[in-house]
Amino acid sequence: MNNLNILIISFITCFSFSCVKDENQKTDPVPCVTAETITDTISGFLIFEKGKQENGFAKGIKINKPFESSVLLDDRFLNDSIYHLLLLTYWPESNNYAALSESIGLNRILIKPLSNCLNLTNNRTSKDSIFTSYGVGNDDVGILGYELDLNADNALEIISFDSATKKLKAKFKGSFVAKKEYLPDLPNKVRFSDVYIEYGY
Amino acid sequence: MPLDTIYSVLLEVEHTDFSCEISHGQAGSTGVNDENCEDVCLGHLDILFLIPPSVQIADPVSTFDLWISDLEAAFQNSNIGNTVSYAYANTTWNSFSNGCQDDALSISSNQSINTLKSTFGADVVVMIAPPSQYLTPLACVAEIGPTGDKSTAVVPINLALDNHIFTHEIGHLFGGLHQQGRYYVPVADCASAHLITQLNVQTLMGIYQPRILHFSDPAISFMTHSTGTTQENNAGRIRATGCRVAAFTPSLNVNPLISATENNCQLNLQAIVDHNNPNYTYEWYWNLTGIFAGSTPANFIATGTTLNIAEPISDPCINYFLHLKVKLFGSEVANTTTTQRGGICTANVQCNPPVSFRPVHSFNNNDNQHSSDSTSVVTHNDIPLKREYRLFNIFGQLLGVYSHSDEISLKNSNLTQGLYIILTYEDGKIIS
Repeated sequence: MNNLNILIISFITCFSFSCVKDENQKTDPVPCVTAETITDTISGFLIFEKGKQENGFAKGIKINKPFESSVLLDDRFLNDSIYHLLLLTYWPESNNYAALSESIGLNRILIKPLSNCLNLTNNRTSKDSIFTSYGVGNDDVGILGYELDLNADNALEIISFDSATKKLKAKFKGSFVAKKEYLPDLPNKVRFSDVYIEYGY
Repeated sequence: MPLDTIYSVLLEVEHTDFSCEISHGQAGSTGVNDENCEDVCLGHLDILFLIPPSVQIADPVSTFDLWISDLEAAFQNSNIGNTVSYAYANTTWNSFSNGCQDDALSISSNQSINTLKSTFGADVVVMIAPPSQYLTPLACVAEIGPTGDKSTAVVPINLALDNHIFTHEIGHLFGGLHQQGRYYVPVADCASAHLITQLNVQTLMGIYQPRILHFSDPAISFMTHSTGTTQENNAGRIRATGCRVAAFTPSLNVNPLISATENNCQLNLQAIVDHNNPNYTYEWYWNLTGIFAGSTPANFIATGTTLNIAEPISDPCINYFLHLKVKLFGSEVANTTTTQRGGICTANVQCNPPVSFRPVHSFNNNDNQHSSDSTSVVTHNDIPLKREYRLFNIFGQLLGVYSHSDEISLKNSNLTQGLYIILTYEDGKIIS
């Protein structure tokens, strides 16, 4: 009988340790956005200015060159868990004003615990993926619009977010295809990889 | 002009000189040089405002009248002879994102919106976005104009008049630029905004603010300062592309007229339009003020192309206003107003003494010289008509438009004694 009790206790103990281990795995996930091997060798495309980065910054790779941008978080929604994220670059300053050039828009990001790796989509009305846009303009004038390449590896990874302070750390990767043929310095295909985003710090 | 709206705006109206025929968007009016800011090829711009489900506008007519008056004032200040009209419609499109230009492109390629654009004969579409929808840019166009398939602007409802954003976006759709070298499209090297450094203001196409209500033009000054240079001539660009934008879509050319006749002591009303469309509906109203926009009360009469009704006012000493709205799928595409004397079956009635009136301007006419002394109250009976006259009360409310006869009679106008303002229009411009 004693042997049986010891066996049962041992089994319960092992089972409970096993459960703890599973929980630890869920709170320490494998990153979904990591550094990539760059294979695209095109050159001559524009890398725009990063802007003042007053509220946040993003750093990563655009095609095969380092890329930096300013970041804005739009939290003006009735639902406290939904946010827009904007990555913005600028034309060189003229008359003390730098006009907006690139804009990467990540729309209606529903930030939930344990949902750190989010799918991106072209569908504006999607409920379960993030509608993602990219375009080049001159402030309020569109120059070249792109759409997300659904065949590519695209994701937004939320590393951490404090809803009280709106402090965000995230990573992003995404490929875009131009909606029409354009000049070489505005390439037909653009991939952003290993983009680290920090906002509110 | 905004005087017939319930609001008012400060206008900086200066000289105008319309020197070309206006194109209403008919075929064959597109001979314009893309690189040129000197040619003049004017046109009539038809704007379609689209109201999505997420935007509520209590009074669209007054709202859009005000926006259009801002654009018209900018055209007048900048010696741009393009003319403007608008219609508005509801749309089910409501897929706004945080990227204005992506939204504008999506709207440009939306089939149902393009059908609406064609139905309303619109050259450009202006989508009304929810208040402050975008963090940056605040509003936008899909592409620099003139491009027929991308002639779309998106403007948040609360920002249209904020530093003339609506007028700024329309300027882009004509090819107006912020500055050169940043577009990667073939653009005229003469089109660019102008900074008046002494005043620290920019012309309308400038990116940063404040803006003055002028498109850049080296031939026009603002407070003694030139508003442009040969390389900064957005007004010239807009003058050159006006007919091309007007030709994006054939205009509806409704041009409604009201025919009011007597038939067995009943009032017979008939709506007359230049180009009829079986989908048009005709709504009739009347009131005593002549103001049919905004929240001003108007009495609905009936709907129909022709009506035979009892006259609303039977007193032969009272004039009233008849108003016709032409609607297409529930959205107004044109309207007109006319005056009508009461008592159509009453003759030879001596009405009250004519109104006392203090004209604010004197003018001569070959047949009938009329002059006024601004220091004395003049009791007058008939004013010789020259072109079109608009009568306003001291609050700037439009009381009447007189252009249907050779002379204006205020004998039986039912106006109380007081100070009134009369403006003389010629070809749509105020000349006095």
